Amino acid sequence: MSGYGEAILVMLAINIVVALAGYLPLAAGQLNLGIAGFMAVGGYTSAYLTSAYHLPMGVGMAAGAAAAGLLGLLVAVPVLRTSGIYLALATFALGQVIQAAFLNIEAVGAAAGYPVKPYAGFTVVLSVAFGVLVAVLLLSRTRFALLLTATKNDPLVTELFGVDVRAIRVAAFSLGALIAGIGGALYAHHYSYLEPQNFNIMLSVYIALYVLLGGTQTVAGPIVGAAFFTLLPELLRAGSHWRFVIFAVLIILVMAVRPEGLITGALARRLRFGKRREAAS
Amino acid sequence: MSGAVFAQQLVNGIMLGGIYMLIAVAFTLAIGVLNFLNFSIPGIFMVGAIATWRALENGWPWVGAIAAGLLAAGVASYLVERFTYRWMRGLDHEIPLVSSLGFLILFENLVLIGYGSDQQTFPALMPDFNIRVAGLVIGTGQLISLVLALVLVIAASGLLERTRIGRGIRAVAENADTATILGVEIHRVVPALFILIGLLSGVSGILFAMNYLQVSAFMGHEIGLKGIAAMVIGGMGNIWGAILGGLLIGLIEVLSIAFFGANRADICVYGALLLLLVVRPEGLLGGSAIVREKL
Amino acid sequence: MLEVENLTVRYGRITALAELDLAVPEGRIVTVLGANGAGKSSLLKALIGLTPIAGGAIRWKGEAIHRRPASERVKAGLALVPEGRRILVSMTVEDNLKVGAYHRDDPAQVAREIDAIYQRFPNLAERRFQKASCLSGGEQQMLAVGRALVSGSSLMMLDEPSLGLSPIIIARLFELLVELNKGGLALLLVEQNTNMALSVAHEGHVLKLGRKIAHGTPQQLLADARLQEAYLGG
Repeated sequence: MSGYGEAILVMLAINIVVALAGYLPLAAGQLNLGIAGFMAVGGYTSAYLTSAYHLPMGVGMAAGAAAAGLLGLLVAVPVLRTSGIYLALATFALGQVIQAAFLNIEAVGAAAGYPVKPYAGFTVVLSVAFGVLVAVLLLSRTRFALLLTATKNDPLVTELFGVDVRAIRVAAFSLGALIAGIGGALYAHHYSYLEPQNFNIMLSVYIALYVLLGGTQTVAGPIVGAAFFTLLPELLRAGSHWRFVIFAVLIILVMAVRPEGLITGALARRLRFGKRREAAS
Repeated sequence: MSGAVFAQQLVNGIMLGGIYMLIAVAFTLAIGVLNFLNFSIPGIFMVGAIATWRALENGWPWVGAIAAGLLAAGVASYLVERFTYRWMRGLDHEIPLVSSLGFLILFENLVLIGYGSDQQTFPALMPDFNIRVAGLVIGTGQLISLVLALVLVIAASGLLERTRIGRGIRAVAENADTATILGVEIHRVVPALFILIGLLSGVSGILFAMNYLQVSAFMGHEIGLKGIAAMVIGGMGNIWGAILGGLLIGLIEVLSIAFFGANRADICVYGALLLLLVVRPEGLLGGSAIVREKL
Repeated sequence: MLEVENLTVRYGRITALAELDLAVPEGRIVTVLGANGAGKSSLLKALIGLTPIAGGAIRWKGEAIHRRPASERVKAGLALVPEGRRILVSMTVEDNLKVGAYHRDDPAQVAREIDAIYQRFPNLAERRFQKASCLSGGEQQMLAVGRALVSGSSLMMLDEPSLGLSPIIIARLFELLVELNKGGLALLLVEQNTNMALSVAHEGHVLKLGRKIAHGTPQQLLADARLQEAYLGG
């Protein structure tokens, strides 16, 4: 494959990973506007451990994911006491604090940025991304996915059925943070350089937006959203700002006419059913 | 730090707070009345400043250029109403929030396409001299901005308290159905509110440009996001809270820069926001002066 | 004055009101009776313009108004005292009355009418600058009626005004309604409190599951077995 094609696929893979990170809390009705912060934690942790302590890249990434997930768990408990607008605001504030914190940590270069040693090539990025995708797909076939939807649709009734809604929310949020950490680590090791400015609020916003554009009812939603966002400029071959304009217009239109996103549960079922029929005939 | 320097920092913080105040009020109106976290406000702030700058570049007189900026901001805000809130009334409150982020991206990138990403120089409008009072240095531009911000906020508050449209807005804020059966024209009141929000954001953007003598596509980010922090700290939906919050954020920022350095200021500002959201989400002044039951 | 013809209201696939005919002549009290879910509230919401209609026509003083927004219907002289009163509790008593007069452009006259309401309800006058949340249920109902009065309406529609009020307050409320009617105000009264409603009304309609099953004078309806049936189901 050409270098250009590989570069696009790597970008797509990383975007899908972080889309899944945004998807899990959204599936439980939580808008996380601080995903870039968790990416930064995963990326910097892995970069630091592999560069300063010469740990293997796999260990670094695992540690990065764990650090992001653990931070997610720690903040989930107080932050998830709020909901709706307050939760979106709290995650926004958290993302800002994390970004500002890395701007001050001299050990990882602070504002000057931090070069990352071990390089994650095409195969590594794609395999890890594929692993994350499979894990989320498997998760979506368990009872947990059902509980996420129930928590989103009617937390009160779900609670009445004896489900610990709060635990479900904390789990979705922390798992999302963990996956964001993996995405951040992939980013760090592939692009070999980290700057706090990369992990700004707009990155979090774009991730949340393309997940919502794809839809949060099925795992296919965030994948379609990420693919759309990554491939749009390549398809258009237009100036890079136009892709954001078109993306923004699409977001506004989709939210207006089809607020559940492009891929809904019903659509996904119909497509699957169609395939089965084809296979049968 | 000596007492005099500290006092000077306090003055600087209050002056900076004046800029945050107006935008915090714009955010708080959208939240208080419509339960809408309107992320397009930083974009409208920028649109107002950019339109004024363009008009000045084209040789318009000051008054005309400022009018053009306000008009652009009002129209931009009306567009946001037309395509977010109006279509989604009654649905999940996160949907208009998401669409308003779409508008923020749209406005910024259209300006990027039109005028590039560079900082553009905004001509000096106000006399650039400082007043010295009891050893404190106060910039006239900033002082005028602060006074103007306070006047506008008090005027907006008076509009809500005492006028017919203000009563209509408050009725809609409490219960849109009840307002409807009382004959309040929601299809006029809500757009009017959005235009008010747009004008406040636009004024704030123009004042910012006049003080810092530059405009750019992303100029709304930092100010807008701090405006959100100011709104939450004061108490969402509470106009006086937005004023208090604006001043507090200005002070926190200036003082944290003085004590901990510029790179740490954001940790303090957003750390304060995060802490407040966890321990006292209703904000310092509590609930909403427009309506308490909504959130 | 108000004429309803073939009115149908649907929520999705559920028909709340089917092909209803009803008229309120000038200066009359008409009551609509029926159990929960009979379509009474849907009728009033459709009349004021809160719920779109699926078919039929609403005419007010000879003009079709069913396509007009609620604000224009209020301006034309319809007023609704909604179920549960729906006082704006975050606003003062005075502001609630002023919102009632939202569409009016004669502030001096409105001020006189508000004063008249305060004279009629001294309890409201005492609390005019307090938040309406401090009012008792009965006071809230008086405020809701007062609010409808200052809109300058010629037809006041009331949705279950007796709900949740003590018998004494209910009696006073109905006295007030009769008095307002004697002053020329037409009333469309939706009630579950059948006896109270029929004691003041000139005529009544009985609804069951969205359809009219009986219509007549109070005497006729009280003697009609279908009135009992409307409440007992079957």
